Amino acid sequence: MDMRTTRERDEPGARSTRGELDGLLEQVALGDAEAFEALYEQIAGVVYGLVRRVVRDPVQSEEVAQDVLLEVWRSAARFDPGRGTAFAWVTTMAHRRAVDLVRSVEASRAREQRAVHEIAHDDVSEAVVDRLDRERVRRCLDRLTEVQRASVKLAYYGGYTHQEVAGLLKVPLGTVKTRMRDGLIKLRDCLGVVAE
Amino acid sequence: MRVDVHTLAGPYALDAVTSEERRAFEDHLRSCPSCEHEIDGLREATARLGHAVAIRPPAYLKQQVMERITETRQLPARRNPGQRPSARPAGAHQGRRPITTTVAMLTSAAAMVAAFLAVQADYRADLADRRTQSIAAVLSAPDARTVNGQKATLIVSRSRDAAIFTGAKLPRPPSGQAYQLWLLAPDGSPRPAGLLQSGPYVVTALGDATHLAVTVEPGGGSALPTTKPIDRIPMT
Repeated sequence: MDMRTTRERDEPGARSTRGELDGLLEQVALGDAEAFEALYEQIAGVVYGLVRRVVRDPVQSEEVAQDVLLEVWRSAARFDPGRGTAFAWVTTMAHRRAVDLVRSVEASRAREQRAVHEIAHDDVSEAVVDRLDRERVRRCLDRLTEVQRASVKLAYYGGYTHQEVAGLLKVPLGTVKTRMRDGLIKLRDCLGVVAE
Repeated sequence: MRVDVHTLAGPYALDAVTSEERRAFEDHLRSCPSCEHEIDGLREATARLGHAVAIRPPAYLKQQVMERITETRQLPARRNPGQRPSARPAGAHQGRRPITTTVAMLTSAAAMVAAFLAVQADYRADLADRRTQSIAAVLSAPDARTVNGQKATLIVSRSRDAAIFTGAKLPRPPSGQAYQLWLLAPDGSPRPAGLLQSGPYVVTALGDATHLAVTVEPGGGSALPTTKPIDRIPMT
């Protein structure tokens, strides 16, 4: 049982960045291209990295990443701060598009075969950005149980549905659903992130 | 296929659902503010998962994106900035029935209003307080009556000297324009009665007005109607 009580959130850097992002997005909504450039500097690494991880194909990943960033510009005024952070808004958009693409282009057999490598995936450390944030998330992920972590990672990075995850991990569907939720709650609490 | 929505929160937040399940879950979210709130919280966690895989994109990506935004139109905000409703609690609070009984007794228009309030209360506390009080005042009035117009519905109470306007069948106004309400005197002359935002609108100070009209006006409103009414509802 994990006896650590220190929360991973007690690191200033990432926090202030997050608040800044919301402000930048507000400016972007008013057509401020400089604000958009600053916002790009902060989120492009996550957007591109996430899309690349899910979609895998470099050319397609670039296209999707570009689409997402343009959509951020286009619909900045539609962002509702009452529903969460700008960061979550952007990454939700990126993740959805990446998942939709990978599911439409990959036949299910190919996806099952890929899953074998997915479970044991080792991230390539090329051009890593946001090292502090990266380490925080990894430490928090380490606090999840095996099934929680595997379910969350297969779903998020692999783009698998919960039914597929249940099949891959050989656990009942109900179990996967609960583990996903519990895993995310644990992650949320460890990172100390709130929607408002 | 019956979707048991409450167990799908985790998968949904991870996008680990089929499009059918996603649709069903989002339908559910629309009527479940606490579920929506939970999802928002879970999303903050999934968002951070991106950090673990972030890598520097190719330099030309930035160039391409910065170029493209110069030729990409931005969407306006969903709501019209317009005028804030100057709702004040209308009339005296005498003869008040408990709101739940009253709602049950009125038509579905009132039920819509009450449902709207239940959702709004979670998110727009200060604005809804004043509007909620005004709406409650009208709904609980003994003489509250529903009148259906062509596009919208009015719940009128002469004793409260106020009416609730709910424009359920109104499409979004053209960009830069807004719906404006007018109170029509017995001789037909109009006076401005407010600009519509989302949700029910409380019109106050009815006076001797016999009808309520709706026109499309430029975003900031007009002193007199510049277009023909799209609806004209009697308030007798």
